[in-house]
Amino acid sequence: MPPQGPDQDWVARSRNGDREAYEQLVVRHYRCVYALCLGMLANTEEAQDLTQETMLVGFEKIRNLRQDDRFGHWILQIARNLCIDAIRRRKLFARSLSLFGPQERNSPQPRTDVAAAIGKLPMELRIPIVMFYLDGREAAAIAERLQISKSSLYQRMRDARARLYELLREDQ
Amino acid sequence: MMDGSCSDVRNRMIDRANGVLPDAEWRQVVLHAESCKECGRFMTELQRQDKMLSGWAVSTEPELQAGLAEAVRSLRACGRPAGRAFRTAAPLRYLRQAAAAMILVGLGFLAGSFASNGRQAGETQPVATALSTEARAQLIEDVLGLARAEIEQCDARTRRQLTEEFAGSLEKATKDLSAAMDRDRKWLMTTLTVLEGKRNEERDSLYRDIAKLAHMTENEFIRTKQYFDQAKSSIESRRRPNMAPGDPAQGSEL
Repeated sequence: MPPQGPDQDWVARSRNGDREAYEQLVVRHYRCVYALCLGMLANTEEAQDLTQETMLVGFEKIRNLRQDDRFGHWILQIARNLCIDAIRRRKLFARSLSLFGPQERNSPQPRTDVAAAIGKLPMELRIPIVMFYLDGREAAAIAERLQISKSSLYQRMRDARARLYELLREDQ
Repeated sequence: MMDGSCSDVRNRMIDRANGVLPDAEWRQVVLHAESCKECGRFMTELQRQDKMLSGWAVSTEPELQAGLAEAVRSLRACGRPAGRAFRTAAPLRYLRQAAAAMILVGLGFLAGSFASNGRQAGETQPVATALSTEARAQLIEDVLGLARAEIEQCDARTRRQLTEEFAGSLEKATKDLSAAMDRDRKWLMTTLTVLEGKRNEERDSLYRDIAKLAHMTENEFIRTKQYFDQAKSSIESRRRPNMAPGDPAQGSEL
């Protein structure tokens, strides 16, 4: 059960190096950060690594956070930046491998059809749907976290769901 | 307000699955679905998929909890800047794989160059004979140093694997030197052709990227590249007398 009360108190204490206070923030926001990372990367292991990395970077940089009540957005922004870097590195890695000629790579296979179908969605549709299922099924809260309008989020989720429908339908 | 068409009803079913359709509208949707076979089927399928997606989310829960526990444990244990108590991030694995690939190819390239000493006249000239003895020695030292440093940094399992690959690659190169040389020459030519096809600024950025992948400084990479450049001009100068003008077979190897 995530700790109760506003983030501000924990942020203020974390800023002074209080690791226990930061732990409370980690517990509270881990799920949301993980959902974002999984939405962006479509790979559970990488998402796990990047979530942990995000939390570490958050602790290192929490002194730079100016508005204590914005921790949630701030930590998601860190996660988003780290994921973008990871995606760039993936592309760079693929490009460097192509310089070495054709490679046989054992890329990890998604564990389920559902994971595979989600992985096929474009990132802007994947993020909201993953956050929806992993982080509380509250579309309005997801819009707020991603800092996009509700109507935009609803449209993306509608599109995501329509594509998933085709990918997962039983009678195809 | 619903317009009552099947397409509108289905959109509303999707909205319901997304948790944004009020109960009052949902009742109308259900009424429509009861009288329309196709929409009823659509709703059943959507509900089935919603269950599947919920099941998938539940299946990620143990990993999520383990990750959270590990994050908290690491946070408690680690001195912040002193060390990386968290798990190695996945991108580093990519870098290591890329660096290992580069090192192995480099080794093959060097092995090929050693083999050239015993070659008969008239056979394909080896790439690396164009390098001076000092340059070759330096290159060998650089590549082996990088390989050792890279292997040292890995965990035990990866270290064992890399060591095996390292040994395997060296053994293979020793057994089949001419094949190794051809492969490496092709790699070299391809790489350089790609590099030269880029505009200068893109090439600079590519150098930086490759240097990062190989865990080298940019200068180290550029130095290595200079060795390659020497080799390339040597190849080209040897090829030129035999090259028929306009012969497509003599063009880029890309």
